[in-house]
Amino acid sequence: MNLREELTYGTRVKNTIKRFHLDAIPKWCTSVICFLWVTSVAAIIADINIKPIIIPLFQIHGLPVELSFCIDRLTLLMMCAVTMISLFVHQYSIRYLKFDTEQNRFMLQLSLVTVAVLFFVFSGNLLTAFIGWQLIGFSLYLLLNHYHYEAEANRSAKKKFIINRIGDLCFLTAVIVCYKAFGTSEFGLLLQQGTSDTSTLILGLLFVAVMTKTAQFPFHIWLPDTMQTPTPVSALMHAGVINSGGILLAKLSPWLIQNQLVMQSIFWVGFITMAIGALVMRKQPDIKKKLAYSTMSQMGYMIMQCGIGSFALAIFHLMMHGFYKSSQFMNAGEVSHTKSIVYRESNRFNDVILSMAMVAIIATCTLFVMGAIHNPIYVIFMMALAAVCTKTIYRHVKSPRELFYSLAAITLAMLVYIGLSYVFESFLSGVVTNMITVNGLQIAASSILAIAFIALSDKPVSPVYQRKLSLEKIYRTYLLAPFRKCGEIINNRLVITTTLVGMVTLATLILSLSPYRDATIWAMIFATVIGSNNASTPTRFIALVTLSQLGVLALLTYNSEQFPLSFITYYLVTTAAILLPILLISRTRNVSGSYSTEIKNVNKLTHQRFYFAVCAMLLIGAPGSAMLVNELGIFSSFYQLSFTYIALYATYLLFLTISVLHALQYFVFNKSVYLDATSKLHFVYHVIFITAILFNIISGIYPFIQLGA
Amino acid sequence: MNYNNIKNSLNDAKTIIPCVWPLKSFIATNPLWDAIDNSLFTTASEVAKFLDVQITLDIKTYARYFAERKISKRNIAQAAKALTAWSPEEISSFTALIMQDDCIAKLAALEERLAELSINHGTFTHQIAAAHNRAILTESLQDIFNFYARYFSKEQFNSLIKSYCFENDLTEIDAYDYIEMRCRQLQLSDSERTVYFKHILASTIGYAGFVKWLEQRPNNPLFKTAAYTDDLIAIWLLAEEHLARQYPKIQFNKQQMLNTQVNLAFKPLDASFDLGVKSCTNPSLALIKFILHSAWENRYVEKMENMLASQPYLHAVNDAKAQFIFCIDTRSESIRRHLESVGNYETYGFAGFYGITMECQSTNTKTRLLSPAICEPALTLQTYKINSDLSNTYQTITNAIQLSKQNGAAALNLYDMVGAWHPLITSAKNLFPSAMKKLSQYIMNPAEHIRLPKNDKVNVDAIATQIAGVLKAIGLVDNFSPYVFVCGHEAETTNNPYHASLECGACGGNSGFLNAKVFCAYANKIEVRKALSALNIDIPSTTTFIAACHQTTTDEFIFDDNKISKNSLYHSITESVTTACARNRAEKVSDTAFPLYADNHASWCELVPEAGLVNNAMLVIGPRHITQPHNLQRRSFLHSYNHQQDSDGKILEGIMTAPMVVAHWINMQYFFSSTSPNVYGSGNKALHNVLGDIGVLEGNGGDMKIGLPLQSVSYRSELLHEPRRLAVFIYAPKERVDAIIAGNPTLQHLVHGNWLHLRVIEPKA
Repeated sequence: MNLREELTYGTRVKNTIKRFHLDAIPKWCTSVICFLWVTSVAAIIADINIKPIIIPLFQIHGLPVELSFCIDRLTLLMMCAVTMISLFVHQYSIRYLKFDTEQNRFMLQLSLVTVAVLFFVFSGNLLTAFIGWQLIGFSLYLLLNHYHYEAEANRSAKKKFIINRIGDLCFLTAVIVCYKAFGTSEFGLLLQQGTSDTSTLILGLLFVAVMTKTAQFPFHIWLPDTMQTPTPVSALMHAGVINSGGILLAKLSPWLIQNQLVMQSIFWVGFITMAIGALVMRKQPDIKKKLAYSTMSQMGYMIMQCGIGSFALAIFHLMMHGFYKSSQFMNAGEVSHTKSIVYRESNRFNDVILSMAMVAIIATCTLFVMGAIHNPIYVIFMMALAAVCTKTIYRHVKSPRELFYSLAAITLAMLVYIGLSYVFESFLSGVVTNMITVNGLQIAASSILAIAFIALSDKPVSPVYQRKLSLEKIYRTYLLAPFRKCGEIINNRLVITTTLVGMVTLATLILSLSPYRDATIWAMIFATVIGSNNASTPTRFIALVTLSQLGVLALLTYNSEQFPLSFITYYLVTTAAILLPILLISRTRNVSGSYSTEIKNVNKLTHQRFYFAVCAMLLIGAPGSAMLVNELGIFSSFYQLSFTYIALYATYLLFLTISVLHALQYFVFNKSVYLDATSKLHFVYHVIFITAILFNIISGIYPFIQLGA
Repeated sequence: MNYNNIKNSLNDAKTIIPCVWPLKSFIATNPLWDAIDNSLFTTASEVAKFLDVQITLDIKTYARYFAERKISKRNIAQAAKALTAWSPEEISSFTALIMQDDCIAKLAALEERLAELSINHGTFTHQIAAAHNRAILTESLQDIFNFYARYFSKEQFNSLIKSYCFENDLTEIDAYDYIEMRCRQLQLSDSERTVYFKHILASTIGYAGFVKWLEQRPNNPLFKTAAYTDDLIAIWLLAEEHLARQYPKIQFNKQQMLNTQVNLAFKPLDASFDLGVKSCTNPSLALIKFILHSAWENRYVEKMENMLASQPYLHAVNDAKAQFIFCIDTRSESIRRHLESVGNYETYGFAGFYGITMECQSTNTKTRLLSPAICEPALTLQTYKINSDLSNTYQTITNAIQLSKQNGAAALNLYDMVGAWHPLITSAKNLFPSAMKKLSQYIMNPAEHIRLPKNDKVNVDAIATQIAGVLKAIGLVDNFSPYVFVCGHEAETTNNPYHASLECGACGGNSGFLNAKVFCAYANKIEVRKALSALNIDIPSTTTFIAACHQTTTDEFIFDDNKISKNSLYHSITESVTTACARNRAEKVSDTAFPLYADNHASWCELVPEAGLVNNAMLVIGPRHITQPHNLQRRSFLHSYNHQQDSDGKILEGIMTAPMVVAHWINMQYFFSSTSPNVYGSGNKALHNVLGDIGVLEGNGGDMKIGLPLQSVSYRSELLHEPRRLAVFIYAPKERVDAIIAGNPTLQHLVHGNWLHLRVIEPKA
């Protein structure tokens, strides 16, 4: 009897495979990364040292926009580590996501993130670093949003992006201040600037950016929530991406080291993060959250090392942590079949345990005193490690021979490790500063913490306490809720608000109350942007965003002595070229509900949604877009006006990001009716959108008019 | 309202949620098992009030089947006749209308719209969220789920409600008192309360299902702590009261709660749909789809029935070279087929635990439950491993690393120390997965030896009865070959939380090798042989029972033959087995569905190491000769049964109440995981996040996931598993089967409630 007719599921699968004839993309991506890795190894062996490579692009208000790259031991080493981890993750994903409809897209995004990190790693000045920094943020948003049809994935990607955006804006401000104050942002030239209030400001702002990227307290809340994405993304993010903060600090190390105030705050932020991460990690129920908090703690430690000036060790730590953490994530599906450890209950050994543990600790100490690494914080935690290891071994071994072997293995591992860190330090000695300055308070705090962790390792941490430490609720109640409430109020009384705002603006303009003029315009900008956050339809959202952008334009024209006409034109044209198409698409509403036999792929956006998303991303200044040029121009011109304006404009950009991301969540990724899923887009729309997007990108890379000398 | 009333409501409410086994013993169950008193459709329409349950595929699929001639109009008419009380005219007009393009288009559009329209008003929390902001529900649920996750992973769930009160600064209360008080506040009567509880449990189906398992299995060896459903409900109500206080303007609407229907497809269609049914209310969309689904299934069952009944000859193998007893698992079907094609071998099928129910305690792994879900373990087996210094040292160091990792201060430098080696380990795992797996096995898992329970004399008779039961059930009572192989099966996977779902279900989601070993160890004992001959089973002394193990992922065989003298016959048998395995592998590779699974099971990035029991669709209870000529494509469970040796029907009753039920459970697990993946499936495996030994979460958290992941039943967006209810074919006299069904209420429910198809094939003289 022939069962073929009944068993056609096989042929269906065959057809499915045929449809995906682009099967080679994952392997291509992997090969590229592999090639990059091989290149980095070769370059390290050849000890290539080229810096800086400067590519000038254009100028805005005397602000030279130029890309600068440098190749030295630090960057090559980081390239090697990042591409290696990325290579592991790529290899892993080829099989792991075989069952995913959008595997090709996923792999390309994975490679994009890697390239973004490399761009950042090789940057030779702050501006290039900033562009790389933003590129990491944007590409990671795409990756975290891989399953964008899931509300939770969306929410966590949004959260990460917004928190990172705070850092981005601080970074941008720092770049501008740096250019304006010192005329350059080359890493090599900055260290000559010494200490001043301006340098403290710049370093402080940069450190805030580092804090958001490396999940330092109190910006850590995004990290544990990023699990709604395939496991390889977590592996890459926790190993290859999150440590970009450390790299930035290492690049700035010669300059940082001169500024004790910033160094102190770096140490203490790292310390708090490390402690909280370790505390909260202990009672996390699920494996991935546990790993996330562990990363937080490790990043805290890395930042601590930076804070005492031991930058080489910090780099070593972030690399090794990356290797281990990525492996742990990729192995997260393992359910342990072995019994939990049962301690031997022998008193005979107790004295031996203590004395031997002491011996081990003393031995380690001696090694350090004699040896290479003059880093007390490192010694303290090394002692803690030695103590815990010896304790476990003594309580677990069954025979003297086993005891000997295990002790020997652990000691060997430690020695190798110490040797490696020493080699590493000397390898990086020319590139990264290594001047350790520690004060008594820091040593005391670290020792107390270490002792407390060892002594209280069996004590449970109250869950109440843990929840408070995670800060989530506090952010929600005191920051997000009021923001949302304001947006609601504005939206619910849209007509009244707009009339009021319009009348006040008109009045100030007519009466030419110049001191109040700018203030009024700012108020209008903020009212509209907050309102757009809770807009109920895409049209309303776009209208409000346009209003706020008009407000910015008004500011520009009124302060026209700061802004040349060419720049205002540029701003007007580029913004309009993005806003109008979105407005167009948000009005094409077509609910036909036609029946199609095709199987819908939920993981794919329709054209409308896709264009909406791309335009929205360009609107908030994705790297390479015209909006980024605008931001640079506005920032640098406001610098001459007043620092308050910079702060206000940065806040405005943050609010704009929040509302754009909300709009993406509501109108694009959620199944809302506004951008309808079934209707087919007319040919003309494609032309319009592709033109608009290309125009924006091209004018972002090479502006079409002179933007002021 | 007293204690007992609430208890009754609770027990009533619990029927709609499944029993969720922990990951270690991931046993398949029918998620609606406690509600099988009614027919599948009635139960589903009841549960659809609380959960988005579906029992069919989407309507377009059936339209496609119709176009592909997998459903005929006659099938539809038959199914409609069986499932509805419509008149013949109505049926014929329905049949004529339903498969027209515009009707399908209209229904498909409706199907999409209904999914969007559905709003759950089931509990006060849901109502507040619906009235105010949908995000409230997510946040409120997240709080509760986080709390559960914390306590369940730590096995501290003895007094859940107390911990909850403590965490939320509430005064401690007794769950029952509080539930009573709260129900009085909400003015719920007894029956309304049950509905309310159902809504609550349906919202936390994963954790509630696990607690239900704990309640049902207080003596299980896996979790010693106890948890209670009333705690779960009280916690929900507490959180709800707190939420209600924040939104004082919103009042609880009882009527809305009672009218809630989560899956609107079970509501009758409105008058705009004219399907020719005039005498009664318009059918619901779910009913229409169910009729089409049944039509599709019936066609398949008919075909299979004809195929099996047309069996031309009665096959009798005498003097077989060897006899093999396999598990009934669908994966055994192909290996049996190939083995028989290689040489003169007889194969039998029996549930993979071979009558041995036991609890296995071991020196370095956790206690395992090696018995089917419906049995309590009778034996306690001790196993031990002879560890080398190398493995001991390795374990000690691993422990040291584990403990240091959990210690906040020691972990910091540990990551550097261990991380320095990890590029090597990770690349080795990526590039040479099999070698790494072998290496870790070499270090970690030396062979496991069994130690049989000591007290012999008392046990021997009981054991002999068990063994005799197995041999009689499969009809192997004489003509013993020199070698009888008892084959368990196991899967080898790495980094897979669903490992247990690929192992032997009859052995509690563990390898069946141990059960086979114990069976053979006893069956080879002289005392047991004596006791067996007293039970009319004379096993010649030349016959040896040998335990073997079929590794389903790699298609390899392991024999437990250390103590056996090997002659040329034995060697030729093992050679045949190797050939059969190779053929089986070749069949899997050439099967279009299989290349996806087979390349590298040992790799840590393999989400689906093997197809498992995908496409299981039937169970044949009867002698092998009725199925032997057919290639059943790994779709069939095969249980051996010889009706001639079972005049009183006791054996058949045993088979129908145990293995048939288990096969039905497995079938239903696959069925529901593919028809309603959002409720009874565990979602995307690439997002899975292991929660202790208990279960998995999807991504950031939320409810614990139950059932099989998407990847197990589908490839990309195509469903691989065709969800068919189990078709049981019994080769026995019809009266005997009828008598057994009449005497057993569970079987009556199963057969008459459309939970499975049962067909009797009359034996030929």
